[in-house]
Amino acid sequence: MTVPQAPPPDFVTRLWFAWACFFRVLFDGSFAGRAWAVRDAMPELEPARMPKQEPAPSKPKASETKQREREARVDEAKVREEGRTAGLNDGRSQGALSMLSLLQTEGRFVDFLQQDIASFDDQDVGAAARVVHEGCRKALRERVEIVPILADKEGTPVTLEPDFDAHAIKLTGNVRAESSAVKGTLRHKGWRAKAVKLPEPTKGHVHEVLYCAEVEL
Amino acid sequence: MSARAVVGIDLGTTHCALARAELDAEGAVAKKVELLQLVGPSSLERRDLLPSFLYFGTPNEGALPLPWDEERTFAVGEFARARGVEAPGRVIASAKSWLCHPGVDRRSGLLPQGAPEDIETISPVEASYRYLDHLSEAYAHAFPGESLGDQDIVLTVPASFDAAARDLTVEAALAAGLENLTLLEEPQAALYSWIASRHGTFRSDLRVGDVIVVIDVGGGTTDFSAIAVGEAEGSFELTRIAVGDHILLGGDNMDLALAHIARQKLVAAGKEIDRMQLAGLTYAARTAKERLLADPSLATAPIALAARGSQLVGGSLRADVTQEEIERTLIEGFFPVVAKSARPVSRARAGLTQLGLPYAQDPAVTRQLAGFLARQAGAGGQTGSMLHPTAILFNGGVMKSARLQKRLVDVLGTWMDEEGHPKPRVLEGADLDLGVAIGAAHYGLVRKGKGLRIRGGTARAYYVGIESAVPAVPGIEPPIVAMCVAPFGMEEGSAPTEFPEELGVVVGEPVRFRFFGSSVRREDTPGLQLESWKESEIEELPPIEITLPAVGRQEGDVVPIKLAASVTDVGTLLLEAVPTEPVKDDERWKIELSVRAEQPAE
Repeated sequence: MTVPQAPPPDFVTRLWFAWACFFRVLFDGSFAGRAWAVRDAMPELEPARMPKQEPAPSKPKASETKQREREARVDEAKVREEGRTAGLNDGRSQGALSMLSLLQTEGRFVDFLQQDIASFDDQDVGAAARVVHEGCRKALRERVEIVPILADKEGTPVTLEPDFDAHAIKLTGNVRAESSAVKGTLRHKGWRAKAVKLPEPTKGHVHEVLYCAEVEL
Repeated sequence: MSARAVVGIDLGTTHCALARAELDAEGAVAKKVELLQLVGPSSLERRDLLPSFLYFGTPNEGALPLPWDEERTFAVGEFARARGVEAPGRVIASAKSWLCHPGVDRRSGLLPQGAPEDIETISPVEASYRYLDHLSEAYAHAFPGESLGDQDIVLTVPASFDAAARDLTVEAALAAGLENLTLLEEPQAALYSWIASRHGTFRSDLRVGDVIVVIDVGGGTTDFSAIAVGEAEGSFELTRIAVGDHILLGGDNMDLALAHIARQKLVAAGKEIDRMQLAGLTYAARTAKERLLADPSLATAPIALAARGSQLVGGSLRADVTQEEIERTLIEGFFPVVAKSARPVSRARAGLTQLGLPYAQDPAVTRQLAGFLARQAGAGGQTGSMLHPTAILFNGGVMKSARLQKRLVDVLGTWMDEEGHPKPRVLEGADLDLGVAIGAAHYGLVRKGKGLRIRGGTARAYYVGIESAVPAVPGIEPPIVAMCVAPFGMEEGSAPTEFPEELGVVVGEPVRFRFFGSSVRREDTPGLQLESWKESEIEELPPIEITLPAVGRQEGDVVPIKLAASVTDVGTLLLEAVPTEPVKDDERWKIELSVRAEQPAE
C-alpha cells in the first residue's frame, strides 16, 4: 500500500486533524481500522521532516519531490547527530509544545493519550473523556478562535463557484476538471482558525516540560 | 506630569479589574485593560481579570519572572490562584476580607494563614499593595510610556467598608504610588457603569422618586446599597441613601455546597476524596452549576474529577448533580422564598472562636436582603416597615444567572405587594464582571465634566464614646455616652463639623477613645449625646487614639481639645484634634483611626 504525499498542513490544521482523529479513532471502529492499516503500511515515521510554513500552492514536479526527499533524509541524519533534543528549540515546535502543555494542564490530554485504555470499560473511558473534553475545549476556545469554512448545514446541497478556494474546500466522489460552478452535497463544513493567542513564555521557560511531576509533602 | 487617562480599579475580594478612559478625548468611553500575569510557572497571558491571590515561591523554584521583573519570587494572579489549591500555606486569598476585619491588627503579618516558617508573612494592607502594584506594572506594560501613578485613579471599595478600612485601602494605594486617588463605593460604580452603557437613554429608564437597590453578589461577598433618584433644578439627582453590612457570602459558598453534594455521592460509592480533590470538585461544580442554572430543561450535569496521577482512565471520578439538587441547594438554600419579616439567623458563637474571617452565619441572600431593607426603613424620607425599592441593579458574577435574578425579583416583588408598593423592575444591560472597574473610570470622567453624579458622603454617622464621671463600682462598667462627631452623609468639601464638647488629652501620651459607627441613624448632628441606643443601631469600631506631641507644651499637661471631622478629597473620613487654646496658628493634629483589635482587658 502506498501512502500519497500531501503538502504538510500548517500547525493549527495539524492540531485540529490530530484532535479529530483522536475522537474518530476512539469512537469510529472502521476509521480506526483503516488508520491502523495506513499506519502499518508506512515504513517509518520521518520525524526530521519539518513542515513548511506555507503549503505549496501547486503539486510539485516529480524531480522536486525527489529533491525534497533527499533533503529530508539529510535533515534526518542531522537530527540524529544532534541528539534527541533537536527540534525542541525550533520556534514552530515551541508553539506546538506550548499548546500541548495547555491541553494537558487544563484537560489532561497527554495523560489520556499516553495511557493504554484497551482494558477499561466505556464508563471509565467516559468519565475520563469528560475531563479531557471539558478542559481541552476550554483551553482551545480561549486560545484559538475557530469558525466553519462553509456555513451551510451538513448534508445539504451546495454550489461552488469555479474560483473556490481549493486549499479550504476539498472535492470528493466523481471529481472532474470543471470550468463552471459545481454542485455537490456538503459532507463536512470544515474548520478554519481565525485567531490564535498562545501564552508568552517567560525567560527560562522549559518548553519540553509539558506538565510538571508532582510530589506531595 | 499631567494625567492622560482616568483609570478605574476594582480591587475585589476574589478578582481585580482595570478600566481606562482617555481624558481630553471627544466621546471618550471607559474600556477594560487586559492584565498580563503568570498563568503557569513560566507562562504569561493577558486576562480581563487578575485573581486576587498572592503566591510565595520557594527558593528551589527560582524566580517567578515577569517581563518587568525577572527576579521576582512571588506571583499575583491566575498562577497564584491555582497554587492556592496545591500549596495553600503559601498563598494569600481574601486579603480584602482581612482588611476590613475589625478583630485583628490589619498592619501585622497575618497572611498567609498557616504559612510555613520560611515565608515572611505580610499584612492585609501589604497584600493589597502588592495587588495594586501588579496592576500598576501590568498597566505600564500595556501602555508603554504611561505610568499608572500619573493617571487619575478611582479605586472602588465596598460601600460597607468603615472609615478605618477605607484609610487602609488608601494606605495601600499610596504605597503603590497611586497619588491622584479618589475612592468610590462599588455599588455606585456599578450604577455609573449602567448609566454609561445606556448612552444617555438612562433618563427615560429612570424616574424621579425611584429607589434603586444595588444587589451585588460576588465570589466572596454580598453587598447591598440603595440609591434614590431625585430632582434638583429640573435635572436628575442621584443620592446614595443606604448601605448594608459587609456580608462574607458569595459564589464560592455555592460552589462549595455543590462540591459537598458530589463528594457525598462519591463517598457513598466507596471512593475517597482528599482535600485537593475537593478543591478540584469545587472548581468543576462551578461549571455544572452554570449549565444547570442556564438550562432548566437539563436534568443532570456531570461533575468530573480527574485522577491525581497520570493514569487518567480508571482513576477519574464522575458524579452527577441534578436539577433538583440545584433547586434545593442553591435556589432554596441561598435564595429561599422568605417572608418580609425574615431576618438573617445568627448563631451564638461557641466560646472562644478561632481567629478567622467572620463569615456570614446565614447563607440566605434573601434573608440578608430582608434584614437590609428593614434596617434601612425610613431612608430617603420613606415611611413603612421597610425600604421600598422601585428598581434593582444586579452586580457580581453570581447574579449573571437569570434564574437567581428572577428569584430575587419575585421575592422582592411579593414583599412590595404586601407593603402596597409596585414590584421593582430590573435595570438591564449591566456588565456584571467588569462593571465596577468600567463604572469607576466613567465616574472619573464625570468628575471632570458634567455627567450625572451620585451624591453620597459618609455611609455612616460616627460617635466617640466618653465615660461618664461616676464613682467606680467593681465589676460594673462605667456608663458610656456616645457623642456624634461626624453625621451621616457628610460630603467631601463640606466644612469640618466641630464637636462642641471639650476633651482633656494628656500631652505626649496616647489617649484612646471608644469609637462607634451607625449606618441607620441619619438625623444625628455633631455634638448630639446618646446615653442609650439599640444594640442593632450602633456598632463599636476599633478605638481611636490621640497623641499630642509635646511641642510648645509641657509633657504630662492636660490640654483641652475639640474634635473636628471632615471628608478628604480622596473620600476618607478625617478626624482632627483642635486645641481650644492653640499655641500657634491653626494648630490641629490628625487622629489615627486605629486598625488594631482592641486588646481584652487583663
